[in-house]
Amino acid sequence: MASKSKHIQAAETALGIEPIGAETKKESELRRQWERFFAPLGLALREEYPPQDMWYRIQAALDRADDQRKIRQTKRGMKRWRLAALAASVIAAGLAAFVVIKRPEAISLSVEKTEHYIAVATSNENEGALIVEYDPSDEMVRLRPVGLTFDDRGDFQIWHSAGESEPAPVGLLLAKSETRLPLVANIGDTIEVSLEPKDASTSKAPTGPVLYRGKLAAPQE
Amino acid sequence: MDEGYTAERLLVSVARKDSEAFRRLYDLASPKLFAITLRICRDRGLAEDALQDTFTAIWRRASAFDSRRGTGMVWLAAIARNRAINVLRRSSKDTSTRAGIYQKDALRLPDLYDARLDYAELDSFMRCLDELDETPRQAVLLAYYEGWTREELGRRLEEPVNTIKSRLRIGFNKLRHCLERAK
Repeated sequence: MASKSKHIQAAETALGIEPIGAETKKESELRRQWERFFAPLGLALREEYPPQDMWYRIQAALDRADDQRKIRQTKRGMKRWRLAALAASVIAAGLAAFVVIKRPEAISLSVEKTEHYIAVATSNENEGALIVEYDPSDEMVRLRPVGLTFDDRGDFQIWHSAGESEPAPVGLLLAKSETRLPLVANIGDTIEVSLEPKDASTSKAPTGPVLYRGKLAAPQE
Repeated sequence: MDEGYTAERLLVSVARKDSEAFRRLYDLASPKLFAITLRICRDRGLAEDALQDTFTAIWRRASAFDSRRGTGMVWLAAIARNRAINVLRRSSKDTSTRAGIYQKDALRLPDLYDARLDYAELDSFMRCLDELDETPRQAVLLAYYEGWTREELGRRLEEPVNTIKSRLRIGFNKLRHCLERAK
């Protein structure tokens, strides 16, 4: 039987008054019980039909995220291989030292930390700046232009590149305060925005001038 | 839409990455889920973003659905609400704009429209909600339909945040006892 305070906490998170944080299995079940209590309010709403292109937008978002995930998996595989090789070298060196001086050393390996990455992409063309925020937990990048004028010059195409790899298209920067797109990225990856001819195919590489460029970094503590 | 396709059955197939089932689930659920994101975001562009996020989350996390813990539509509605609230809070809309919207129709109750809805559940929920004092009752509706934070509720209902907090706590307890009695 859950306590009164656990029920209150569950009701608050189910309503969205409190964010959903780390939950035990019991806390999660209790929150879902409250979601069931509140659900009739939402399910009784009159249906609204989304725009016709919505299904294609969802598919495109999933396809892009899938491509990015494959790239990241490959990179992770490489990273794991390098870590394993490094760990093997360290262990071998440790064993050698143990044999020589009979004093084992503790080996610690760092674990990749998940956090929020940001970049301020600046322009050499007096076009203001672009604030880029990336949340690895939902694999979405958010771009907010500051001082950029959207006019008939063309489309602002967003590109992502990791290390020395060629830039891959992410999507178009929309003429609104925030553009949100699915992306799988890591610290140090580069985000660029180029000016491309309107409605031109942008599946290969930037053809127009790169207006903004910035690297994703972890925010300072 | 074939009536044999329920959200529960389709979610089981989506968990196995069946893209045809995903399309059927979209056809079945998107009008209801869009109604939820639209009601919370009050902006078609934001509501569309939230719906896109909702379905990408459903595709990735369908395996987390457990039919023993509730119906498929309840699970989907909770995802849509959470995504809509996230999108809304990340958007640049300030609370004064939202306060303007509130003036018009924030507490308008939903149209009782959906033939598939279990009205007994809605009826018992509304009766229990009516047993609450006015402040917690309004706070529950505003938080559910508009995604208001406790601070926003305090400003809108002209009560200190701590008062809202304690009134809501009393309200949640009353609501729970009432809903458990109604089962």
